[in-house]
Amino acid sequence: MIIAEWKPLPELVDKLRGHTNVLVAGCATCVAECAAGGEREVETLAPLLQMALKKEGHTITVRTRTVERQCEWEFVEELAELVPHVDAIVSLACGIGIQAVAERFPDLAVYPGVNTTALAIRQEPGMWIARCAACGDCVLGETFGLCPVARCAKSLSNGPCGGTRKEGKCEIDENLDCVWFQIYERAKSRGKVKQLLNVRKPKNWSNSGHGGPKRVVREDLRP
Amino acid sequence: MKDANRSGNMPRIVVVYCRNAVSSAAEMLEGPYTAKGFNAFFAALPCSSKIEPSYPLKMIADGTDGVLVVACPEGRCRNLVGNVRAEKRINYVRSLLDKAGMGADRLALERGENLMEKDLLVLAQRRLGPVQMLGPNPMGRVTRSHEDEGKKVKPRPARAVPRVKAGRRPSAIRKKGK
Repeated sequence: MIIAEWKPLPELVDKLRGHTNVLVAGCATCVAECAAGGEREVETLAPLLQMALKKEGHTITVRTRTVERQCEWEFVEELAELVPHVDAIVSLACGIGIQAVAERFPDLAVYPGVNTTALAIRQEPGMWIARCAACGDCVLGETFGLCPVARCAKSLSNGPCGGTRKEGKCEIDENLDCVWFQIYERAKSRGKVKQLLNVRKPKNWSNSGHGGPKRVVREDLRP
Repeated sequence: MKDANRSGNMPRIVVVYCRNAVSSAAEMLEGPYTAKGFNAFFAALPCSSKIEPSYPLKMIADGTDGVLVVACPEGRCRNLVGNVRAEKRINYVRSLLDKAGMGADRLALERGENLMEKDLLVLAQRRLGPVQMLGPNPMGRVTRSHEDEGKKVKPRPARAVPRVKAGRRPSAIRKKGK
């Protein structure tokens, strides 16, 4: 899932000064799973914004609505009935949803309520860890299902750096597993350590961050 | 005008309590109640863990001066860890209130078991000090009809809730945190 975190309250308050009717819009998919932008968080943030602004002498009316997905036009449309009554939207969706809302309602100020941070998995209740960097050239088949791009602090492709701690932890954080240590352990358990000696060629980044925004086209699905 | 009108009004405290923290013999308080020096509103939950962060925030944004959540003692939750979760959630909301400049002490958690009606009133009374230290709620207040009339609302009798019969213990209030 895409994970995100609330922006600091003062940053949101700063953006909303001068607005009187605000819609806090949630997304019930990824950001709801990571407890940043679902209905619960929307209903929590709305009174907080009201209170923080009132403390500064600004009275605002806050409306709330959480749609199934802010990254699908059909669901974004559900916000249209509220738009005539507001002069700003705070979107708690990921960056994709926020842009979709801003594109659908271009005359309205749309502010991000969250910082989108990673593609992650819920490791345990209340903890999410990045698992994918959307690099566009997946190597999981060669690294025994563990991603060195997203999970190595240096995104190394050919083995660990010299900083791995004795207990298999990363040098930058004692609570972070060294993914290359984990890759080695998994290769060993499958009897394929020699496979790690293969030198991987320079990674092809052209399918990800190069050449402008990534675009996937499937002619068979187009109208 | 709300702010101007409220200067002479009494503080308003909302008490949300776990139904399992009160004595089965107690005539439970539910709804509005005018006590000496403050207006209270009592509401029962099936477990303190049912409290969502948005509930106390909305109450305070609505003008409530203080919210008190009453949970069972740690380790005595009928739902195993409900009151532990409630405490974590309350601490989280307290931090949010602090960031919003409202003061963390507008929300608190107390623990108790076999509480009687008078115990809940004592707990509500205990919240009064910290809440008054913060001053009136800057959000103003939505006037309640019973407050206008200034009358004491008779508590409703306890609802018939199936309870596991446990040995009757003396009423006890344990204070947790602020």
